Amino acid sequence: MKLITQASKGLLYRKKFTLIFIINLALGLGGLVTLDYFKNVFDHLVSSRAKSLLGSDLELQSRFPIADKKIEITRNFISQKNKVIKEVEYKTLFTMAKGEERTRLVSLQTIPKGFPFYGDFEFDKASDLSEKIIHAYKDVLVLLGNKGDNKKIIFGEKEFEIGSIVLRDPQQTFGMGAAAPRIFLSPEALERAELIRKGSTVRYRHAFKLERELTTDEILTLKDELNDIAIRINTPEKSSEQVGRLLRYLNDFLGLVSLSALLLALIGIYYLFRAHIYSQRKTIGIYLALGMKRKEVLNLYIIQTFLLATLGTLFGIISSLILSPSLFNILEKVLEVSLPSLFPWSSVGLGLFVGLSSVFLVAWPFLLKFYKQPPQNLFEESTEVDNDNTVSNFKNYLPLLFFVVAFIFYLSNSLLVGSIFTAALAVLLISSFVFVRILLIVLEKLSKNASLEWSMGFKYISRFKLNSFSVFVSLFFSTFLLVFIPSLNDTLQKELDVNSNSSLPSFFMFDIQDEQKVELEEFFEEKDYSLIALSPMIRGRLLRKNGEKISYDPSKKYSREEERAQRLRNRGINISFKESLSDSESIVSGKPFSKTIGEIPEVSVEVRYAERLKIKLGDIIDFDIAGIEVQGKVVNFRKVRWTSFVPNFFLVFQPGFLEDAPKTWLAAVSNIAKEEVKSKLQIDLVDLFPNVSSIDVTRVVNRIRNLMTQMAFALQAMAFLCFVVGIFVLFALCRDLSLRKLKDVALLKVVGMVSGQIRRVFVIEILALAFFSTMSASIFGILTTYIFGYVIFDYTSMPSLTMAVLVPVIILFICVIVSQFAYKKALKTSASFFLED
Amino acid sequence: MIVDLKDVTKSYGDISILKKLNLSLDSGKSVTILGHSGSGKSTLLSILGGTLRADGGEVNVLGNDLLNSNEDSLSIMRRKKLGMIFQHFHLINHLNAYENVLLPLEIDGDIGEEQKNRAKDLLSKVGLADRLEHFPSQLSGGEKQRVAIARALVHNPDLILADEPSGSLDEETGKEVMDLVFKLVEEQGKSLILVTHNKELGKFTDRVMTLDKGVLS
Repeated sequence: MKLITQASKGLLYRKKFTLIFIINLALGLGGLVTLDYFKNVFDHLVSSRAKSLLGSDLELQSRFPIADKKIEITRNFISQKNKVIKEVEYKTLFTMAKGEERTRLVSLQTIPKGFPFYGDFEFDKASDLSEKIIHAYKDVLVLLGNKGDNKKIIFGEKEFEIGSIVLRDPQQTFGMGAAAPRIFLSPEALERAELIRKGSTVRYRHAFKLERELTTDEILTLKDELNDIAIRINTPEKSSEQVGRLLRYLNDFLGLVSLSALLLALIGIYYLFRAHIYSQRKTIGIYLALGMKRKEVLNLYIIQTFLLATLGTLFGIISSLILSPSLFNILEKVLEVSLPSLFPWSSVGLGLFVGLSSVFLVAWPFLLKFYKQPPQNLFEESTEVDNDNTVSNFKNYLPLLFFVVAFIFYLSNSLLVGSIFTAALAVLLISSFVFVRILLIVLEKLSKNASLEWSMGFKYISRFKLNSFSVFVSLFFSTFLLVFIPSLNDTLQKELDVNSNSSLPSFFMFDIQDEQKVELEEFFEEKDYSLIALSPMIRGRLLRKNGEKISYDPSKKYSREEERAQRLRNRGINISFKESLSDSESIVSGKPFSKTIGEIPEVSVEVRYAERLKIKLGDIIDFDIAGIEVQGKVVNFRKVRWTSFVPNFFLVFQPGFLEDAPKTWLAAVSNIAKEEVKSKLQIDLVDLFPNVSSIDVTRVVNRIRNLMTQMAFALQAMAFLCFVVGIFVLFALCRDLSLRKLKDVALLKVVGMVSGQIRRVFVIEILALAFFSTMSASIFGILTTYIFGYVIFDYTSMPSLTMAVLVPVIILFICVIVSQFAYKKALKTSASFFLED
Repeated sequence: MIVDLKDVTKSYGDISILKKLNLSLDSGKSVTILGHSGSGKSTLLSILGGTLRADGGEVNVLGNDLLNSNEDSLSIMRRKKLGMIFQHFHLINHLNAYENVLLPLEIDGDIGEEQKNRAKDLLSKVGLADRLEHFPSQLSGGEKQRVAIARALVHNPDLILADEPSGSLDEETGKEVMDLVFKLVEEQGKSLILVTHNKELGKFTDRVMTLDKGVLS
């Protein structure tokens, strides 16, 4: 109890230090706890709605009608250990709908009686589905330009009336302005529309309500028994996992940015704690000299550390809990979903664990060092106690290093992203270290011939290596994130800027039947518009690579990247054939197709698809196309510029081989500037080709741009948190330095330097360091943006330099202000500092 | 007269440290001020160095009225005419021996070869010619004090204020250091005010005074 009182008194006596320490830790932890809270709420939302998202316990899904035999196999399998309570068939497909003014791609879903088995619809008023009456979201009417009470829409050449407006459907996920609004109709209405033709993108679904859900093993066995690669088995777990994958990715990346904030906060804590413990040096010596046992002194400071860590952590957690509801409100509006209210026990636990452990891992080496010192050393002016740059000191920080790396992997939720982040962090630290070393040598040389104040400022940088390195790194990270995230967003926005990018098509068409191809070409020729990359599309599935079966084992624990690769293997893929490449693609390795067809036809693979599936040049791949096994030999890898929005494929066959396979056609339509012309063209297209669906590229691109703006905003918010923490680190560092400089200031005054000169020395020190740090981070940020833009989108223009200039200028300005505050006490030091009795 | 203190008073709250203290010193002369701990020796030295203001009286040092001078002019006085030696050496840790000695000259203005040579000569005179590049942490206590002595003399001050220069050193080293101080002060014709509790050192100065109950006698 005595120790606790003593420790508390020590903290109360040093109020400023205690306050800065708590705020620093709270800021570092706040972002992390908030994100984890959001992650938990989101996971809870998805898992609680897993069954209603699918609407059933089990679903067979196929692009082809599911044979009765396969349904019978499933029934028999279930009845062995389970019971089928209900089952229904339903279909989903995309089509074009026409309203009063416009046409629009919509998603149709048949709703047989009694379906969905889980969850309920909410309508504005009650009405039954019939051959002519359908249900739809209000969006449909708005987008089709229907005015007043006109609830009539046309698809598949037939007119339908919206009976009820859907307010909410159980399968609704996260809105974000869906590309194709949903329309619900009876099976009879779909039949009446006559939309289902050969090659239409219809999904046939057979849903089961069971006594209990199937286990993973049972699903595996069922898959084997069905033995049909065209049939996909959907479960509530799988459908909930697919929902919001993008949000999970975003959350994981945000987690890494928030980790950067925590890492910066830890640097701040290191300096704050160092300043604190060194200021306690004589006190520790006195305790020991007065007969206090070493363990008691150690316990006293452990208690003090615990109090600091607990206060900082709790403050961070409480701030996060207070701010979260407002943040969630914004998210609810953006995602068009109501988030469940949930007390974040696990996030609080995570915050407590991370806050307490990280502070102790930072503080422990200092405590240990003082624990081992003989009392007389603690009274002496300059002993090895002051030396932090020893190998043994580094060894003491290894547990912290392991903790950070382990936490990176936990947060990134991916071995690949975690490894990349750790490697990037290591490379950044090592290259910063090398750069700082060179910088220090240069500044040391410059200090020889510089004027007094510049010389002193440079010497403070070049001779306090560890401090200089820390200031450099914390400012570098903050600047880099603040430059990189907005610059990358800017680059991506430009890449997707429909108005400035005239090469983007106006719309993209699919479900074009073989017999419609010529007629469609003529239709566009007549209107003076050309079709871009009219390409055949054949559905297929990967079977084997070099004779080895490609299969997915759901019982195995896969990393996120492996899962993605597995999904690609199991998913049906779209294959095409053509002679030459379009403007949006280029061969990166291998050779073009031969003029003649050999024993095995040649196939070209998109380079990233090949990387994910570990396909090499020369590999023989077996496909299933409409039940027939087909082989292809990989002759080249292609790089595809997907943002061109013209038809492109992962796999392209040499011509002369797949021409007779069942196929539909895809095409893009050249840029049409006027919105009215585009609308008219789409209406004419629907009238003549009711089964052909078209996507308005401008609308899709705008939707992506909005989504990216929102993601970039979230990332920028986190980067800003890093920046605020970075400023705190800077303050902590300057304060630590200033406390160590009290003696220097007094001495400089004794030998005749005036306060203004000393102030200039410190301003030069921090400004020079901040200048090199922010400028190099800014250049690095711009280069990284350029490389990202080039690698991902082949974007070769220079990124915007606005942030690259603005951020360093603002940071330099803030640095001067922060350093003035931090050095305030030191600059006031009297020249009689040494002469006090 | 290089130092002229008349009726100088200084209190800390209710505690009166200096009570109408008088002290005068002619150019080139030296004085030892003796006194026990807490007698106000360091307070007196601080007032003489212009780092602490007296409450009353007249303080004339090196022709400056210290009670009516501003901070900057006190700094200029120190950089031009005053040298100080402390018990705990007080070197700047991140500057090497040569840079520590050169510092007062750098503060005073541009430095050329002449100033650099003077710093080196002085370090040579205090026996540290081979230690120019060494940092304070690489020097012994005696060596640090030698650097501090060289630093106090390098800008050719008129007055040296020394606060227990041998207080942190062992007897033998302390003696060597004091011999050096007296030798250099005499050689260069400087005035010296030495504050100490070591009566023996009084033998080497022109006068010995004792500070007791705030008064010099």
